[in-house]
Amino acid sequence: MKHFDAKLHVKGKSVFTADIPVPEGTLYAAVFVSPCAHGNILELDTAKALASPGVVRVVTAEQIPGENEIGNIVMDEPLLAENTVHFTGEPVAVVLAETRLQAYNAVKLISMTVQELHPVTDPREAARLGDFIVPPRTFSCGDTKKAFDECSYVVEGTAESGGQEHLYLETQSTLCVPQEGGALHITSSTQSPSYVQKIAARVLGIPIHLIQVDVLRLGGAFGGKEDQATPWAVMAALGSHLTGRPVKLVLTRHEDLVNTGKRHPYSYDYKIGLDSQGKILAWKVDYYQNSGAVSDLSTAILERSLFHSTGSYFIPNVVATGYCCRTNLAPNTAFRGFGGPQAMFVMEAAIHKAAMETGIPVETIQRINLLKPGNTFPYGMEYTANEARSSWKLAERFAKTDQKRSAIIEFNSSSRYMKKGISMMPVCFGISFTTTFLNQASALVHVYTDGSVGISTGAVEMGQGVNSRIRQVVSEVFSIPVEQTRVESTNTSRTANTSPTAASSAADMNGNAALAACREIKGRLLKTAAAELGCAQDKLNLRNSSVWNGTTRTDLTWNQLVTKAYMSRTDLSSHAHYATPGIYFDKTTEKGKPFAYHVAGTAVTEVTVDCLLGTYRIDRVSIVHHGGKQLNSLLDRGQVEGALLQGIGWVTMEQLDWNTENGRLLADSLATYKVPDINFAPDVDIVFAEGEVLPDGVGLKGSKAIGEPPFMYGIGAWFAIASAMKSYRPDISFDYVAPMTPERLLMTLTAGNKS
Amino acid sequence: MISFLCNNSETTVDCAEGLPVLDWIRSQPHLPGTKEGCREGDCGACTVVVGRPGAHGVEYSAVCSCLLPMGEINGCHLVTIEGLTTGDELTPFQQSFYSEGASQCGFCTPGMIMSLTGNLLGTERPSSSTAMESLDGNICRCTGYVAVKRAVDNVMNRFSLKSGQRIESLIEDGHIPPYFSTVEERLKQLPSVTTPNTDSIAVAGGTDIYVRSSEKLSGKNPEFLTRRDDLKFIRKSNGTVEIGAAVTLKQLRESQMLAEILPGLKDFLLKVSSTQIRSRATVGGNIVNASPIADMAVILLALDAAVAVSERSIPLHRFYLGYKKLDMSSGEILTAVSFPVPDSGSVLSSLKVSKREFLDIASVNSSMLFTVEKGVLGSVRLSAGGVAPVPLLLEKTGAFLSGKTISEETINTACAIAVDEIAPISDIRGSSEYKTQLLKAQIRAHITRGPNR
Repeated sequence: MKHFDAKLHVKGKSVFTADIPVPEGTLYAAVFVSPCAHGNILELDTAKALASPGVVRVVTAEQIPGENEIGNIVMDEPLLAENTVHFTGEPVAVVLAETRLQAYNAVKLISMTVQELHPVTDPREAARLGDFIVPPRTFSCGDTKKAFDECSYVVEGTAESGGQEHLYLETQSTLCVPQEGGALHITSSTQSPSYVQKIAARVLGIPIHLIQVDVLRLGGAFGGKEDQATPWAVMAALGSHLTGRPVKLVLTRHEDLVNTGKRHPYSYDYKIGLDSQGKILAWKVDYYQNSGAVSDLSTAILERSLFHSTGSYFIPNVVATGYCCRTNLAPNTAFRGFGGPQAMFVMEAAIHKAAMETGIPVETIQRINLLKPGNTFPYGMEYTANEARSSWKLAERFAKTDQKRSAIIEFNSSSRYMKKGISMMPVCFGISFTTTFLNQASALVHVYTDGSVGISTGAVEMGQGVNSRIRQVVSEVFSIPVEQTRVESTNTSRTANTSPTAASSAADMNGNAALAACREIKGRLLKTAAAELGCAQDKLNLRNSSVWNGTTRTDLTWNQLVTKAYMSRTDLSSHAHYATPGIYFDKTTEKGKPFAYHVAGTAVTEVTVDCLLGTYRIDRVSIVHHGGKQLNSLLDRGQVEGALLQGIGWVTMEQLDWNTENGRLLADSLATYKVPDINFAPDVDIVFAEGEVLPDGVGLKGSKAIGEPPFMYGIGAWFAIASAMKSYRPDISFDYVAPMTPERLLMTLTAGNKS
Repeated sequence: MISFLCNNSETTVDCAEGLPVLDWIRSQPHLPGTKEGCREGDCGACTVVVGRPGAHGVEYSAVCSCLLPMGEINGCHLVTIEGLTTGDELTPFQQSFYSEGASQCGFCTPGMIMSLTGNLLGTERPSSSTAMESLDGNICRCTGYVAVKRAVDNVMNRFSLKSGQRIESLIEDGHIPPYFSTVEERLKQLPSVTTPNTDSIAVAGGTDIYVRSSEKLSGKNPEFLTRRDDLKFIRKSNGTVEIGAAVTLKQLRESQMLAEILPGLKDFLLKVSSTQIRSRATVGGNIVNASPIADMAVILLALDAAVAVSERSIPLHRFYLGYKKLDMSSGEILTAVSFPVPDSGSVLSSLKVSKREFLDIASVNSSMLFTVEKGVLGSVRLSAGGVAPVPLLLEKTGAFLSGKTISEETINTACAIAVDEIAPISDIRGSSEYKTQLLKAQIRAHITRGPNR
């Protein structure tokens, strides 16, 4: 089975938002943003911009007809700044002009006088000031106080992980076209069509039903278009609403880098307690999340950090506390893993440091503490699978880790500067939105009179292949060729109140909704067939584009059946809804069963470090991934390979720094923000192992979600590099800061050296 | 007026010559398969292939259309993703990308297909490894490149080119459509049109100025130095190598003569920008751009190069007066760079460390030209970038090392002298402490590891 969209991609025929031919009279929008990170707006002068050639209107906050509020969880984010600005790149005014160049030229003519205030870029500073987006939250179990007293080893430390730019290749884009009666049709590159719809209605002060949001596909998203697509879409909608003309708004790469939020940088304090054998008895961790200037999804992301505070390990006594620290950065946001990678990085850092201090091998501490069936997470859910342990064992065998470790020791002993390193990275990731109500989806399926099938769901195709999976399962229900199916654009008028395509769960939920709709239609069709063939319906089935009676193929083909059903006035359309069963969470006790299931696997990473020049290569990553019953191996492989490299990028070369004086992003172009390229990409071997069997109605036909979990395999790269560094310099001490850039590597290796 | 072949159509456009080709392609003929990803030549989503009539037929190369002015395609064949096929068929790369799952979101895919096709059209002996190299300027954020490598290998493992019949051979294999066989003739038939350069801006490869000033240039008619044949030569005479300022880095890599004189250069140049950029970026541009970490300038400093400006010949290390300040007045043009052919037995070692090994700007780069016999260094010339406001010749360090026996002490003393010669600043490429440390490491590596390791 293929990624069907790719047939268009390879020919350049797939249509992205910016590719849509614009209607006559379209205006182009360019956004004037705050040049400073924090301050009071004293004066905003748009007169020159308004008078410049081609400019039709300059929209500022006071022209907003509804609420100037685009917050989703916490209401703290204006669409356009009023009175104060809180981050560099915060939208202040929208210029609408006849051409794109005219709009951008006019933006340069806007002047804003700001009384600058001190910008906060460090979450610890925000914490000291007590500036939290919501009050801190704590997940706990057991009695850490008592447990630490009983430990043979207690190791404390700090760690940091950096932010990460999504670098979806397609920048944020919108085309809004006014319809009759004040309605608007918005094409937006969003993962959350319903958010765009809801927020646009709120800002314009009109009912939601006047706004139709349509998404054909995204050129990558990775979480960066979950909430962060909304402001740009709403600005275009506002422009259309005020001028009555179509408005196109496409961010330049520079604007996209500076003005939109990223993965949250975290700073950590931790304390880990072990018995003499390396069994972890107690774990205390504080997450200082750099949330940025407004809430965005920060609270939910912090929540997932808390859920994953113990990584793939069972720890009986835990206190994990999270702080959403308000800073003057662009609103940090969802990014593949959604707080999980941060929690797992610090967990691994603590284990690594404990290994360094106790002399117990790091992989021993990892292995003996892996989750077992029957273990309970700090949030009260029981772990039922054995996948954490089985994937570890399989990975050791698959990657021949024993042999490799000996070979590395031999290589390193005969090489002065080139050192090899290896690490193992177990991942256990919970599947479901941790916000329980979001775990619902719907689908609308039409069977047309020629037997072709059109499917609409709430899932957004952004390269992950969700539409291919849905076509696959639909064609299986009807037993027709996949070519006879088509997944339509995601459209709020066909599927309403959709959850964002996020949390790895879009295929599970929307696929199940589509299945339910198809089964409904199939039932009606078989009823028609039973009447037509004069036999019992329960013996009939669809197979190979025909109706079968038991094991006998009847003369009734799929196409004939559909025609007959239509002629006998049967409804050939169905809408169905899916809600993930069995999940709940009580925030007052911080206990419950928030996840439908967990995905687990283990990665073995091998690297070579040049300890003279401070550079490294990631040689190979071998992965055992428990993915349930595989539905589409090509897509699964692509998700693992792609997520892995993003994860490796996060802990190696992808570095976001902000000027602490003025809060400005330093890596504001692709010349300064580097992501892995083809030369950096390691060889990757993957074994997909089925693992636990999911109950009916959970997962898509027994397959497990795959979007996010493999990202965290990439964390292993940091620790593999560390192991090579330690081989070069046995007395090394690590500060546990990601990313491990060549600079950090060389400075760590040479710290305290004279030469 | 600009006249060219756009895919299979004779096209004449009345627009400013400075307009980036990307803007024209996406708006005028509405060929949206070419994507805008960054406008700085760093992602490759906008890659097109340009065929230019040359001595050996039409010479094709992949370039970034965001940094390519319309004036540069006058008389050329512009190939976009839409021009690779004429119907529903897929080229072998397209089919292989589809089969292997090498395309996920699809935004980078057309650029990759164009880079790979450009490699088949424009590389002397296309192979699996040149095909992989040709993707060094294409960023994909979805696939992790694993499927891309599989897809490329699938095609290249069964690829062969009939000698002397490249176009026919590629047509036969379905890599390009049949109309390509008519291109050479049709380019000759294009009306000869010119646009007077009305703006006093000289553009060479444009790979930096278009990153910074694309909007400003898009309405202008600059002077294109790449049109000046008198700036395009690589020659050797009387023990001196002379390179015209408009020679591209791609041409440097392809020069047999340079490969013989400087055996490591071809491979090292892979670390300098990307395939698409090397097709456009010029030697002269890299020098006058005056970036303190200019890769070519650093190499040329070690080679004791001199630049020709107007009637003057200026040693390269005297040409840089300060940060982005040159011994050259506005209106003057650097026409060539020359350097003495290194003694046989001498070694040019070039190193570059950046966050990403390829297509990145150096934190520190350095070159050392030296001879070594029985553990004793002969004359040594050392240069480095990223450690001063200008690409720097480390005269004292080089002088110290000359004639010294290689030892721990020699290296340490050389490093100490070097530290006194430099003045690195802390910036996005690294802290001054890091750059200092890195230069010391590079000096050690030059001496102990030899050329280009």
